[in-house]
Amino acid sequence: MNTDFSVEERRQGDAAILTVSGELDLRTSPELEERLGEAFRAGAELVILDLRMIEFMDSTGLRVLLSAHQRAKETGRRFALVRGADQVERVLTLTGVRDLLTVVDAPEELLTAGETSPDG
Amino acid sequence: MAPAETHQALFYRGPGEYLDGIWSFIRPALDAGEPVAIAVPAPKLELLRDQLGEERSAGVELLDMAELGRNPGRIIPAVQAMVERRSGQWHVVGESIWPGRSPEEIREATRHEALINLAWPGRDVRVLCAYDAIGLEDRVLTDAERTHPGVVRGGRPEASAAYGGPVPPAACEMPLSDPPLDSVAVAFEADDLGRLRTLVAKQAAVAGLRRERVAELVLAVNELTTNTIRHAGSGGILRVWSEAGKLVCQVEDGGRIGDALAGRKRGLPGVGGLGLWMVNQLCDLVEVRTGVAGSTVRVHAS
Repeated sequence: MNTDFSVEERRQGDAAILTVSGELDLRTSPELEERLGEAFRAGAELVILDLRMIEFMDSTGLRVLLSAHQRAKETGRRFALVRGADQVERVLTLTGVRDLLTVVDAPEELLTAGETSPDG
Repeated sequence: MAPAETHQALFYRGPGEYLDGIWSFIRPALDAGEPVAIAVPAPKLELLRDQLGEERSAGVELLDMAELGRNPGRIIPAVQAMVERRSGQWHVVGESIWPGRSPEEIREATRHEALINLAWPGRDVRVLCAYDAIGLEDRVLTDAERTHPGVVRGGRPEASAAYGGPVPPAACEMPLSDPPLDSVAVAFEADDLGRLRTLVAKQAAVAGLRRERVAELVLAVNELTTNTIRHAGSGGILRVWSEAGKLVCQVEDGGRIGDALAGRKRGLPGVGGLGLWMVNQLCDLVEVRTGVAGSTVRVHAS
């Protein structure tokens, strides 16, 4: 169980794109929190969390999302989500957290030419 | 405002007393342009809409209590959200207990009535709760006198001599019925949360729940078992069984839920209380028994 949980990161200019797969719960949330923290510490101006591969998310996952949002706000950077499956959307909408966050359909929507480096 | 006026039970006998009682409660508020909400079962809603007329109805929030209060644990946060959206002296009419509701639902709606007395400290909210004095059992009406500081009978408002404060009447704390012998019981620890989700999803599908409901119940039970791991200091037991087209899940642990309004206040993640609030939003009925010996939370979903 949860063995398929993973966080993949790629950089594109000033942006860090983290793709999470598997189930985001009490067991796996700390790992995501750690990886988001690393991305901010590494100086990313824009951190995009891609939720499309998430199979399940609960309130502990939400807490990680909100703390990343808070951190971005406090340090003048941007944090955004790529919309996940129905279950993920349901949790975000139910709790009203969705209204607080930037949500897009694909990372490309946020990656302008200026942020794309040639070796992206 | 005298306490007897903040939360009143309207004991009505027939549609005449029903309409008169509600009308005399909301009329001054409507005349003064103050916000009014009415949450009663749909058929009664039609009756009130006719009485109010189109123009006045437009200024009132009319809500179907059979839907809003399907789980009585959802009513306080819903009113709270309305009060936060619009300032003014709110007048709220509610009918959360009606003839034909199951004993479990009436028990939890009675608990809800008691907790209303705690819900809006310092807020300018007046609540009138309608009780069908002909159709409801005497013990239900007796409990309404305990949970309401004021009562209205035959059109006359007075203080309730039986008012017991915000403490739910004894009937609300009656032990839950025993789970059936064929229920599934699993002892769990932190490593088992994923396995429990799989179990609940499977059982909910077998019980015939729609796909969306399966996902919602899985989420709700996961919040409960996660609370156990985070707060109870040890593992717990999950029991699952089906009952006439619905699935019932019960989480038992050694923790104690100290806040009587837990699950009725919308929190933010990490602040605490969000899990139980979500459970109330997701389930048709939530029954909580908690004390020094531990807690049992039973949720129903169809």
